[in-house]
Amino acid sequence: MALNNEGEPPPHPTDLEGWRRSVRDGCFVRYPAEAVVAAIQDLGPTADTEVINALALHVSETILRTVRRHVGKNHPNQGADIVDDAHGQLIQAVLCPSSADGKGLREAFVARVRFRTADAIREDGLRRARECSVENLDAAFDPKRADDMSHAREMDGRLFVEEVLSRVADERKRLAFRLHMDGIPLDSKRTTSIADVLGVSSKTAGHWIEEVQAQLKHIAEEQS
Amino acid sequence: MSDANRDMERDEVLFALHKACTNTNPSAAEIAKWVERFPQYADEIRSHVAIIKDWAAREGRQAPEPDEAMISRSESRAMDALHKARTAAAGRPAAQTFDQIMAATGTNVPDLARKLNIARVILAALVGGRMLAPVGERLVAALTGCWSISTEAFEFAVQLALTAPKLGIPKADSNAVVIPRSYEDLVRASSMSEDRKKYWLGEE
Repeated sequence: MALNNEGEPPPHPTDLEGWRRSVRDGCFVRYPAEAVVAAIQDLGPTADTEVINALALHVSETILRTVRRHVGKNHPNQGADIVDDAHGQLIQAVLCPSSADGKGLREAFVARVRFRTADAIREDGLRRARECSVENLDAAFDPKRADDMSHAREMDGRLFVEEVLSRVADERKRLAFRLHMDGIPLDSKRTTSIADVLGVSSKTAGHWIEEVQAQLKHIAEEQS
Repeated sequence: MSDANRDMERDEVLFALHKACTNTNPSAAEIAKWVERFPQYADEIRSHVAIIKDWAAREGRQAPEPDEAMISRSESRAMDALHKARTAAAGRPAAQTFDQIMAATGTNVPDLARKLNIARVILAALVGGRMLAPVGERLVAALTGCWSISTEAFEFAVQLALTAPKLGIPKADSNAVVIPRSYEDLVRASSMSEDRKKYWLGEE
């Protein structure tokens, strides 16, 4: 069983007295999130209010911080809508043990939160892709961030690339460019190629990479 | 395959992908393997991998933190969800134990084990409160079908069983103790054939 920082295992999920003690002395915040979710689910919402409230608020904040860490501020409303949606879905699942998310959170908490966060980001990307593609990236730029961009480029070329990539809504194009940066060949009979991974012709994959490169160049020239 | 089943399978595949990539930046060869293994979800896998690689590329950079307004909204959502769960629980009919469900439906562990082709020891552990939640999805579906009860009623029975486990046979030199085990543990340790174990673990 997973241990907390002081080497003490969490109480059994149905051990109400054990969880009362851990809430009283505050050590529950150091237990793996999976154990806390399991306790909330097995003790049930009607068990000791003080205990369940403390555990639920702790799990809620852990979900929130994990989601926020993974959602960049490049999304509309600085990503706050995506964070709120993903958090709302997951906190409800904590209280619904029979749901797939409810089971996933007690099995592998961080992986389940990352999965649902990625889903929410993907939905947002699909929405943005309908509104703006990489071809008219300039229109998607938040003018308030132009100074940050310029600063980022001065600081580190890689950081600048990341700033630009975060504005490319189409994940396939971002993935093509990242694999290109990793040195993966466009097409190959001997090894896995970008075309293989993306399931498109090498010509299409090459075109996508050129589009992103052109945007990088264009933005770099505008910022200089 | 129904839409609901497809969604469930799609979620299982993508969750497995995220479990495999929680602390890694997947290589081109690894991505190609996932796509090859689940071609029906190729687009979703590529999208999720692109996002995972975005996260990996930003590793080490300062990550955004929630502001106070966001934390406050999240606390309101959590307390609201708790309130709704408590209200729903208060309005539920009295929960039934597994023994009560079996008495009401005229079933018992040996008959059910034969009918479902599952090791008796697994069902005995479930009804005796010696199986840790969560119970495997296939067993939940099979038993709720046999008993014609909701998943919610099943979950209640699991909770009741866990809070009042039936003791095993006492030894001469010590008191009887209950050591709950996970569903997966119980299935793997059972005497069923490998095919049946795979079936009940949802691996086929």
